[in-house]
Amino acid sequence: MEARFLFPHRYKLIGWIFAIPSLILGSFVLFDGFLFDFLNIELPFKYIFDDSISFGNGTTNLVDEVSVLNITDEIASVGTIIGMLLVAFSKVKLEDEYVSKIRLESLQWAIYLNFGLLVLATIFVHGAAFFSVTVYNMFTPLIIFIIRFHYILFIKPSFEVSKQLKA
Amino acid sequence: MRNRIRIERAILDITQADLAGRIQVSRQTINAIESNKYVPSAILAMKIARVFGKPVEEIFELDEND
Repeated sequence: MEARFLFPHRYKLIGWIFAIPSLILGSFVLFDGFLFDFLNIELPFKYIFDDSISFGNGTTNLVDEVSVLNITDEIASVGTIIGMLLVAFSKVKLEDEYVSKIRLESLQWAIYLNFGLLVLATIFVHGAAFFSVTVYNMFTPLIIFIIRFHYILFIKPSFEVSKQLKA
Repeated sequence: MRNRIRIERAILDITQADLAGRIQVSRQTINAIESNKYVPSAILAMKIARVFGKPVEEIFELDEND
């Protein structure tokens, strides 16, 4: 069956290789404030979107004429997004009409659940903490999609087989 | 829609994976069709019927919800 807009199957592995280290790095940045020093970039001009507010690490402040950026978090985010996109949208070994249906269904699931969670977070999370919500929300659609798609296609059938064997 | 794939498979003595291989779909797809979780397209239904050497209507039939 002709499957459109999908990456070849081997890109799934490449996706995992990008996504897993990036996710781990990202968690350290998020929960531990971890940053690689060698990823500091100093710009010789005032860059309005620098790190002075979000990290407040004292290297630059709003009135300085230079800007210091640390791109550890950017690498983690971009790596996670690209990696998870490849995992989510690479062909499975045997692409057929049932797989397409599960893919579409999982996408719908991911959007519903994502916005459901976002609505809950909007109602219950206020102030600066909402910044974390928006950070998680960058990844939740892809994470939910990947979990649901792989669960239905690869994990759930194996439960059913063992159920049938017992019956 | 009901189907008799499991019975026909037993007659031919082939597994879900064998049937899947003959019509170029995944084993999960055959499993989903057999457990009535997925209604195949007309193309796939005809391919399945061809494996069993029977007309489509003998393998698949409408049920009261269709």
